[in-house]
Amino acid sequence: MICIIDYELGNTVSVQNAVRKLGYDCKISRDENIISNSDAIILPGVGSFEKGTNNLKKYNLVNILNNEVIIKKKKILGICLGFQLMCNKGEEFGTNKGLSWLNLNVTKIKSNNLRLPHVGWNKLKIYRNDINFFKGVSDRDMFYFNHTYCIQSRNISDFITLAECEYGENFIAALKMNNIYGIQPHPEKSQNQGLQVLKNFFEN
Amino acid sequence: MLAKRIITTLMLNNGILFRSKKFFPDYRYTLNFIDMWSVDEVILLDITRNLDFESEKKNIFFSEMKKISQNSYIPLTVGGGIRKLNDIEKLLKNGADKIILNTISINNPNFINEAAKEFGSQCIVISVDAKFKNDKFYLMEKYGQNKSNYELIDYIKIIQENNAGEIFLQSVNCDGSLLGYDLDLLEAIKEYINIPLIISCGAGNWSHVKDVLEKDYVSAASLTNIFHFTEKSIKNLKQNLKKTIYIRE
Repeated sequence: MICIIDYELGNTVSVQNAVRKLGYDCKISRDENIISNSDAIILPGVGSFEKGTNNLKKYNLVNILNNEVIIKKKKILGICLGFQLMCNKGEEFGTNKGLSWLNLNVTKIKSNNLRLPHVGWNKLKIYRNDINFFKGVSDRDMFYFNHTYCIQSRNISDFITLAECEYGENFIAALKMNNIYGIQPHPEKSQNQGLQVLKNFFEN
Repeated sequence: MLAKRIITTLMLNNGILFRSKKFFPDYRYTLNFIDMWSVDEVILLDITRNLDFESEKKNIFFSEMKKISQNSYIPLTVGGGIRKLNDIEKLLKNGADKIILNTISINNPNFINEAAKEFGSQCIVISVDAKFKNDKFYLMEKYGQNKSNYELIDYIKIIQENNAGEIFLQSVNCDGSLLGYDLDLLEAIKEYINIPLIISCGAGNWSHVKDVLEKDYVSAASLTNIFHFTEKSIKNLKQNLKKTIYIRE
């Protein structure tokens, strides 16, 4: 069973529709038992970083998720804001601390006069590492993005960058660190190629 | 590079799909005509007059919206009747990815900011309804029927200062005309727009769409009427556009 974390922020039903389409059992929940019994976790997110961290704290999800992800090493996928919340800190509506699993910061996209938010379909620069996250996805495929803040590309060995995207600057579109996966675009809203990425995450 | 978007806008009146003409429901059609694979985004507007989110009748809309969200793995932007932050949460919980504000942002522009703080500005689209009359564009309210107290340009500045994510620009004059988008309206506002702009109302053929997407300040073109009558129309449109416009194929 896949558990989609309910912290009152996010298009949880859209994610659930996509997961169910792939044939997986799926629950939207913040209940400790359900999260604990799941095979994998998705941390979705449509919201501001500030509200995101506040709600994770409010529902005691910081402790629950730390236990599942850091201690029990359960597989987790962060989508958009959910991915950003895995980082050290974010600057949306003041500086706020994230879950600090990833030694990265979330900053406003330096878009070089391109309009923000970065909203719509864009291509990825996929790094064909040994990891199967983008198996079956072509460099020509586009993914749906919708964000003003991003995780800047960094060349450190803590994690593996799976894909980057460019919008004024290069930023991380997807990464993996052990059991932790993050993706900036919305796979649940990126048609076949998005569903393929979700499938790869579950099967990996 | 970010692709220009082709958006289908659907209007529901008491749960029934309608086209519109000069902002009045014109006539019905069915969802079967919409190609959910070729289009880049769907905008769904509840145009039922004076419908509160707490009303029993609103559930008809929610059930139609669910049907659409369960069958489309593309972004779904939903509007109509939003008055409270709670209404936005309810929409997101039912399959919306972004939301559209209109009346509430005219009555209280600070609401945009409150919503952006909660859901991020990337989630908040503001519908700006304009009408040309006596040599001037006016910001319209109450379903595009009445002039508001704002000057159009002032309002466009105010919503952006309040952290709006995108503008959904509608021309009451061109709605349902099939004669092309309102190019004069675009000219009048272009230098004041700093966020992504979706232009709506008036498309009648492929070249109308090309005309607006060629402009660097237009991020997306919304289509309603003509493109709902043949099944492959959006696919054909994209075939035609891709020679000159960077789009998702």
